[in-house]
Amino acid sequence: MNSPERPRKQEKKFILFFLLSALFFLVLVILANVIINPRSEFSTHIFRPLIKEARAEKIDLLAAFKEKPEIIILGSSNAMMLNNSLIKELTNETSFNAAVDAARIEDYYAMLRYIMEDMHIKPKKLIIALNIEAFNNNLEVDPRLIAEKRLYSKIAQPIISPKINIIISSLNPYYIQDDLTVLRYSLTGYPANFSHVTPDGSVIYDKWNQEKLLGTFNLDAEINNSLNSFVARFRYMTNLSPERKQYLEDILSIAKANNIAVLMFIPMISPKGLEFVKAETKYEEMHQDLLKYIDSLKQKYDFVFVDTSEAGFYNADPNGFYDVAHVDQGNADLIVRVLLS
Amino acid sequence: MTLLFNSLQFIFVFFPIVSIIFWLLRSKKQRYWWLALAGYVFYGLWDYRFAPLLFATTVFNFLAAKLIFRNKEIESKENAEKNAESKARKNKKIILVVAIIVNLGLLGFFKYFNFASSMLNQLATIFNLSLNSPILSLILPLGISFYTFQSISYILDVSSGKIKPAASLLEFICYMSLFPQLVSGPIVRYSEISQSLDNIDKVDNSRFVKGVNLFVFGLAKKIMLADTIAMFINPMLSGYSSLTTFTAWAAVLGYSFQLYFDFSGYTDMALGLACFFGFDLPINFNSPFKALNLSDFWRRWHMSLTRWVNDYLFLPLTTSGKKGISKAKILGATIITMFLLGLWHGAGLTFLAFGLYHGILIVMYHLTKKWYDLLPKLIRRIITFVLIVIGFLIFRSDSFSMLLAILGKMFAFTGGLPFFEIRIVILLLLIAASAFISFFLKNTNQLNYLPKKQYIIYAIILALLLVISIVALGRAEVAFLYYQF
Repeated sequence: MNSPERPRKQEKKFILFFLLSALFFLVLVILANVIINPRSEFSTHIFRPLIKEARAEKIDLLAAFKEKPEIIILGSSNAMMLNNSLIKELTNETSFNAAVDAARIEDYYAMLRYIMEDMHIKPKKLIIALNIEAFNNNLEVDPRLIAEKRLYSKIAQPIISPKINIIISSLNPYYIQDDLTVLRYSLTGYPANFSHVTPDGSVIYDKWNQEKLLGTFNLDAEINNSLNSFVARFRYMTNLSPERKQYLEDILSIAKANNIAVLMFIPMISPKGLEFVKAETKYEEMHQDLLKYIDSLKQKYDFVFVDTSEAGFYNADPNGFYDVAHVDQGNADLIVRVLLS
Repeated sequence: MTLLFNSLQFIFVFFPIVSIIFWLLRSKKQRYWWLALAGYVFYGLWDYRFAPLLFATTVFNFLAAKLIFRNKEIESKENAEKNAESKARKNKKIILVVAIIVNLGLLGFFKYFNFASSMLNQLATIFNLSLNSPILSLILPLGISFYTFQSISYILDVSSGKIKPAASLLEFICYMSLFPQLVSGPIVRYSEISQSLDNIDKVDNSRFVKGVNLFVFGLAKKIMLADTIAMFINPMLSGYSSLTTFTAWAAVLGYSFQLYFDFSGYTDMALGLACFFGFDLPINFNSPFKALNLSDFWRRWHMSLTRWVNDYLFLPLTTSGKKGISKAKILGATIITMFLLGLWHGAGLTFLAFGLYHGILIVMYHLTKKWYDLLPKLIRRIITFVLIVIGFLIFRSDSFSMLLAILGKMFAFTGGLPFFEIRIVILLLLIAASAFISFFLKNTNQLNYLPKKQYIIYAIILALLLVISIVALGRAEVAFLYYQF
């Protein structure tokens, strides 16, 4: 076997084994991510994910809700603290908090359509938390919306399946770290819940509340911990996404056609977080664009709008936060009072 | 969007499509067209507005070289007829000078106009004058420093008779827009690639194994070493005022290894990619941290650039004039060459200082060579490495105040040893691993790409390294440092 053919044969074998092995390892990683599904981004439910899937949970809670709510709250996690009891006290109407984690405008739209079309609930009022980053022109549809078929079917479908993008974006070390954490938890037991959702869709932050009770809650540390991930939501935002603006207008059109009153607000951000995000991103420019855009919508639609992003403006408690963007009950109640007054 | 070699779009879409179609095409012309198209798509995806500039530069240099060559031929005939000061010779000189001015003019305009303008304004302020030299809103075309130098070398080599001009415009377009080396080198001279271009229809797949090895090693160097180190040192260097002596050294050492693995990783990938199209690009790194002095370092670091400045700048400077070569002339030429080499890296005072620093140290080495070379190898290597590291600090610094502040921290011996900080411990481990690879392992081009025994296991390990790098890539795609030049 000393012929010149030998190295050529070896070369071919080498390339073949290299390609097949690379494909094998890649598929292995993808399969692990899909099967373990640590972030609720795929439809597999073999293991309990690390991230709670609020979309499915909210739909199921609403289906089991004692009555048909007259007010629906749409928004992201920072709208989950809005107090349904206070709303009832101020309006004498029952409300349900349908806000979901990391929501973008299409989440609001999908949720509203599902509630009205599939659950046959026609609310009298909509309370919408308009996060500026929910209009981010450089942020994909949240994978958890794509994974929740009941909601995802309500929004425009792209030609290329976004699942390919989700699979590609799952190819990162942090995802694999999450896979391993899920496997570890499933063997050793999951830690106590960080928070839980009440039957009316509101959130209770068990861990933070416990810390507050014990006097160990450190707001500065929580703000510092959440600062980077909060700023990252704005980092690549250069415009209000036209598609997301259209979703908002579609929501307003649905409301108009069904005589649903709309109350919108820009959620409150902790002063430190606001200062940081203004310095690091185009936040202020986007903020002003959103205000102008909302103003332009007033000619066509009837709605109430308040901007509560600056805590100082409504004499909110600057320490009334759980982290950068999550208000405590005191500030959440203030928002509700401002909105419904 | 920049189509980085270390992006999933490049690895899974662009490169497979380009290489598969390349191998499906058979004729020389088809392959030229296809590679040229791929080059322009690759370039245009960064900023399509600059693709016409690349094209215009290519056509201009092709025609200039043709004209120079034609006049050179006429000149040779006339020389044969003993007519030394011919019109053809004058024409050749004029075309050569115009071509070089146009090439350098474009580079100067895009890269140095604003720098020169602001320097003039600052200078005027010192003398209480109001110059108001304009600052334009310019974007530096990607790879202009590289393709300008390739163009100049082509023109000069044709003019000096070292090479014949490219046979066809298409072939020349293919050379100038060859995507593996288009934006960050190596600076490939036409003479180094003309044979491969000429035989583009006859290449076989014998370079695939080398290509795979180089690409995977390059990607791993970039992602697993350079980008990981960057994650730790970038915040340290941004907040340099709070560095201690220990963390300042850690950050600067970290940066030195980041720069090396970033750029040598890029070059390995470029060389590897070129192998898939039958090209053997010249190596650009030869274990530079094993250098024994700074002259030696520049023979090992960004070798294609060093060769370029040596052949087209240093040698002409030392051999010009009537007095012949003298030591003073060589030392002067060294300073000028290194000063301009610093300027090539960027329009900024710290880049000039980087060049000057190396120039002065190389001169000092030559003056003390007799004694310095008697030192043990290990001592020389350590001295050289420390000098390189300080040079890279100059290179990295955004301003002289940053440079002086970090240098001050490095030599102030304050602040203790923050070993308890996990990020510092990880950084130190990364530096140790990088140092081991740089000082003790073979250079990538010296590796055995196909071990005789257990080559299947080697292929599997290499595939695993590729997949780990791809997964690590998911942290964020970071542009190569040398893209900015």
